[in-house]
Amino acid sequence: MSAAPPLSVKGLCLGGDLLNFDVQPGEILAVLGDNGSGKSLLLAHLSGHLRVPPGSVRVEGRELQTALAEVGVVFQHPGLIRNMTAFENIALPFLVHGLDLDGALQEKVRLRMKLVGCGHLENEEVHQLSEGDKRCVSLARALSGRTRLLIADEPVAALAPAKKALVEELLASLVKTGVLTGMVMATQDLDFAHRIATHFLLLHGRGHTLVRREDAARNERCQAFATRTL
Amino acid sequence: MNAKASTAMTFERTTRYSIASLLGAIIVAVVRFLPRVLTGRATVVDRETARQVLGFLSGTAPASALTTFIYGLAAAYGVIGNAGSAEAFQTLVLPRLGGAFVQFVIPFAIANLVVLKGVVGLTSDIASMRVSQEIDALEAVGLNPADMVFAPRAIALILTAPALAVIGVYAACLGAWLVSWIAVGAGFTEFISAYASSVTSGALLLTVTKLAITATAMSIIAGFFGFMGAKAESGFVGKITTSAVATAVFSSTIVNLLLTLLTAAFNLE
Repeated sequence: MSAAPPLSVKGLCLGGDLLNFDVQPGEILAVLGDNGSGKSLLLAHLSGHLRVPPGSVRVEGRELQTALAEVGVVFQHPGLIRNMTAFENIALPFLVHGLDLDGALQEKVRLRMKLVGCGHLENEEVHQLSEGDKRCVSLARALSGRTRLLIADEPVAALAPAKKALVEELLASLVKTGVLTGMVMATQDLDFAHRIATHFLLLHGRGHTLVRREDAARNERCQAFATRTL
Repeated sequence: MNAKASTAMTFERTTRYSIASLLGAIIVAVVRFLPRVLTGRATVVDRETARQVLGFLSGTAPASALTTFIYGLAAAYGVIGNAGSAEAFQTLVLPRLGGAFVQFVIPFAIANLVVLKGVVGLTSDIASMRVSQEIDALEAVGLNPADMVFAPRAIALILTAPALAVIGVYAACLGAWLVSWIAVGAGFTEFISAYASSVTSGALLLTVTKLAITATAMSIIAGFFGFMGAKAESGFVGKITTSAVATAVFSSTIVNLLLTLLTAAFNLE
């Protein structure tokens, strides 16, 4: 196993604040904050969509831009490609090294669909799906290809309770078993964050607070945020 | 999003979706598309390309036929009125009518349609895909949106424009015949025969080539605005599309002028 952490952020400038943190193997970091606090912007940096010097984002010791194939991303909008079926959308990461899917790859796609509970949507055009189903397909796509690190913006938003529990269990077990080396997620759902995350990164104004889940109850800023949100 | 982030993003998009990159994506897609389809090894992108070609053709062919039919009516009405007599029209004007249509009327009419339907469709498609983060999603999985989204639509435009020109030649002929029949009693067979005699295969090939080049330029303009238009992520799709159409109308005139000058300079007409 690589000694370098799954994700290492050094000197990343976010709204005048410098962020430095690592996500160690088996850790899930929940990014919390009010609307407009910069959660989605931070995730855009971590998923390689924005590159702003100074600062660096490294994945298992490598520059993020050279490791993008191993970073799965769930966007704020599901971002499913129109005119394609759910199956074709989930297959997209497998198409990077060739534009056709052989039988083995098709099975991999079906497995991911089953894992997130959308196996029955294989031939559905994405515009016919409900928001919750779109979110599941988007998650299945993020877990396709060679994903080792997951960056997810509101991964369980719009999901029905049963589906939410399934996804929650799946994500926790993927990280716990090492299939995913780590995960960073932005969420407004504090209950979900509290159940699944190992660390919280609270963005507030021009500063931030990084705490372990066990310490959150004793942190004033976290408590104030929780009180305000709930 | 802060100013620095926005600048960095613009820089990356500028290089990835430059005019040269978009032209390269079209060339690569054309080179790969036909062999793969002909050998029965069509991929997801090829199927999307075929779907776009059929969609664009079926959506534009009726409008193209009707527009050029009306152009034919109007042009024939104008020349019959100025010909002086039925004999003068049939002996002097009619043998040149088809050639004039193919050379001047059809490229103008079809270029307008390509600009209106093609550029609007392509630009708004891509810009709205930025709003819904479809473009981000493709980039995130390591696929190039210029190959996956732009090229199939651009190829549809480029293949369809010449096909529409051929439809336009016959529709304009019908329109011109209808006016001639009402005004000077021109028989259908004689009219078609005289009209067709002035439509040389060289002139038709030239028009088809002109339209393919115009459609290529239009699709690149549409793609550039779709990918690069400012504030697409904020939902300004209509504004970006309007800018693309304004630029495309102007560019279409310039491209046509340049092609006309070139064909005249090399005596291709």
